[in-house]
Amino acid sequence: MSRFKIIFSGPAGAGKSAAIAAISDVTPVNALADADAADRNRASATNVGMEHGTTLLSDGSTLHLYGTTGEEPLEAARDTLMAGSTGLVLLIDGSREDPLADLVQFVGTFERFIAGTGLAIGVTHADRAGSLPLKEMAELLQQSGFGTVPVFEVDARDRRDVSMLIEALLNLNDPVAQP
Amino acid sequence: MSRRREVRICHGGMEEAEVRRFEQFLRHVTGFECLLAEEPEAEVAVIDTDGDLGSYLVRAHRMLYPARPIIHVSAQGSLGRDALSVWARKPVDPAAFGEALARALAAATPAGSSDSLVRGRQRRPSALARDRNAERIANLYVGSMTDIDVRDAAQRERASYHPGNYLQGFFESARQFAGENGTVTALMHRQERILTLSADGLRVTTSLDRRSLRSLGLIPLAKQDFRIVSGTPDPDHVWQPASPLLWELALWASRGRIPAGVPFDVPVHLLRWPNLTRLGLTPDAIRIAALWSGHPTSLVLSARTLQLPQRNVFAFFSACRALGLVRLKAATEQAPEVPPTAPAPGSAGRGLFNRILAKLPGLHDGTEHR
Ligand SMILES: Nc1nc2c(ncn2[C@@H]2O[C@H](COP(=O)(O)OP(=O)(O)O)[C@@H](O)[C@H]2O)c(=O)[nH]1
Ligand SMILES: [Mg+2]
Repeated sequence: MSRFKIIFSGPAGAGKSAAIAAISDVTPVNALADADAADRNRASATNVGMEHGTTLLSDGSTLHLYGTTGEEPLEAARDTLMAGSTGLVLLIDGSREDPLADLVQFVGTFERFIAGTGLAIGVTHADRAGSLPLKEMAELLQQSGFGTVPVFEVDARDRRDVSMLIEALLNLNDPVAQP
Repeated sequence: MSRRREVRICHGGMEEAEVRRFEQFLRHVTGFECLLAEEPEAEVAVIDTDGDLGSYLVRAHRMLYPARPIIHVSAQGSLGRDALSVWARKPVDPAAFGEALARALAAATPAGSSDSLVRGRQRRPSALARDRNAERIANLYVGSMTDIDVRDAAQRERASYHPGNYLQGFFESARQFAGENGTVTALMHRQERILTLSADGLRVTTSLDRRSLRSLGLIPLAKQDFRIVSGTPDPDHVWQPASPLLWELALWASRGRIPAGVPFDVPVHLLRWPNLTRLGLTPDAIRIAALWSGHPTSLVLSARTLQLPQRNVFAFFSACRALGLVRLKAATEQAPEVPPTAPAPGSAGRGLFNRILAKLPGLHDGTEHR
């Protein structure tokens, strides 16, 4: 049976844990979820701050979802995480001061990896943001040579929204595949 | 006491308060157990045809549900009379309504019930709100047009529409007016203000309930009844983003066709992905977007490559075009089109999507019906 691997990254609080939980069959293993930010940072030094959820697909394949802050202390650790993955979902908190700068930072962190697989952007916390710079993000990515990247408003807690991001990512990999 | 026959009834374009009164009324109809149903699952539609929009409501309903009897409730007589139209004269009492219902059901062919495309929960969507139930019915967005042979001019014509004849075009004109004059702009139908656009054209309010809005969106409009004027913000309604409305207006007008003059055989580039989580989702939208973002492909070849009905591609294109998200590569630069090739079997995305969807309820629950 096939295994597929999707990585979620983005700033703290953007909704990585929520998104993984929304899709996963069982509550994701995330001992750090309830820790406050200081604890989380401290823990990430030893634990790589990673979390994982899975969902079993109807044909018996599994979809593995990994969340990472992108702050792996060793680049080698990130490479290990990324190896064999199907694509990267960046969740950007639209209510933070400069979501575009956050996007640039995270795209930079994963640049090497994005070149080889797919990228989709979910902009979260729309309810707390005035308006979302979806268009600006898409144009920035286009100008930076990443092509026409899907940029959706999502509520990371909403299964349908998160599913749609994953769907876009998978279809970018293989638009012609027959359903 | 004999059991009364159950009938599922929908209204066409009543406002919230009217719907509640109507629901009360339905409890007392002589001879029938009337249930207020969602539009797709109704057996009979009841439309008040005395209002300004009466004729649009009737024609739009007939377009969407060709085999369903309609009771025209009117002081004046029935509009657009056809074999499936029954007139109930106002004021209607429970006995008269029961009689009208009996006539309506008698007029219906057995096929009438095949109007029921999808069963959904009972709920009342409001204008501009996301109507997931309506989303389930792809028919609303892409219609039922069969594939055409693009070499045939008559068939190309059949697959084309003129946005300017529809509410889509009126909206676009109003937005242009707002931009040119830097003012809040109103679209009037006779004396009634139906749409208000902010001066920047990015936000909109409407006084219409969702079904009336959709009826206006689906049917070519009588131009003389509409005016675009400078206005003031509408204090009774909350501003909403304009793009989801324009997206939907384009889908309603298009019904699986493309704007006249757009070539069928020129590659389509996707400039930006539509914000699909917040727009009416058309069948196969994500697959089509993914194709156009990586391999610009003409409308006709897109349908063939993805093995989709052309109407799914045409509808999605029309909506993307209304939002300025696609570009056609100029014909002069055009090299012969080569179909994008499928990656080797076993590559990551193949077939995965549907397995996820089968697994993830809520995404696919009917939103992508063919
Ligand atoms: N209002 C709102 N809250 C969200 C959204 N997405 C996630 N959250 C909440 O934001 C908080 C932080 O999310 P979390 O998944 O822990 O972020 P992480 O640090 O990226 O893992 C949680 O309470 C989530 O439930 C959103 O789109 N809107
Ligand atoms: Mg987390």
